[in-house]
Amino acid sequence: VSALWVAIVAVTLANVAIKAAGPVLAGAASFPHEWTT
Amino acid sequence: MRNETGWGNEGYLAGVRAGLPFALVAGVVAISFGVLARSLSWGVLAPIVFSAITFSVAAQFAVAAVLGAGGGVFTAIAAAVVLNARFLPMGMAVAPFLEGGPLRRALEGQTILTTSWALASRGGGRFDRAFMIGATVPQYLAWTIGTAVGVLSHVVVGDVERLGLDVIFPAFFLTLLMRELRSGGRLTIAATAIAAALAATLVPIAPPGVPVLAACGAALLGLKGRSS
Repeated sequence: VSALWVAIVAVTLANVAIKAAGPVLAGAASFPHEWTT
Repeated sequence: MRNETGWGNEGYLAGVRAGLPFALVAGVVAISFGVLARSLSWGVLAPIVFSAITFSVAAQFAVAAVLGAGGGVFTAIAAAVVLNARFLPMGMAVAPFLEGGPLRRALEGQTILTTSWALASRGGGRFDRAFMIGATVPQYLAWTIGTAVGVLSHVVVGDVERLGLDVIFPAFFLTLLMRELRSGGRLTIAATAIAAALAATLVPIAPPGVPVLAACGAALLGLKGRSS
């Protein structure tokens, strides 16, 4: 496996993890009351 | 949750429309990435797969820059990760507006782009989820297809300069102008028109980068007018 493919796979996995981390870790926080009324 | 905020399903289409001008630019940048990858002897498949599964302009150019300069693979990965670390706080900001369980939220989080995230911001920390997802779709398609065009460009057109890609930034600002003519204030319209004119005038005579900087500076005046 070439260095390029290692980089492609690693960067892809890291990118997916970073983009998923915020929405999953922060969870479905509730809206402030004034936004829902 | 989206309905609680009063944003309906039409947000997807509105997002797609808002993302089209940025898709135009993404496509051109993708072509340049494809040409760069080809010049680095990455072959045909690797750069296209890279764009299709990573879809990250900054990270992909970072990997190309590091590997192209003879740097190590771990350095390239580290550079890309650092550049993409911005998506962590952006994802946390938009998190309350995404839907479903962890898996679905993780999938929706993949649609976070800097441009789409900014376009979907509604002020006060609020985001239009559907708008963000819609805005990402045309940019993803343009990025992936543009990379393929760039990689294969030497076969199709030879010298890529023959494509006339230098007109894309004037075209980008003209596209924004068309939108502002329908909804923008007079200062915003004037600033966007100046930006388009500057880009069109400077492209043939100024060094690379100067037309875009000048046009963006003019467009910022319009943004100031919109916020005031």
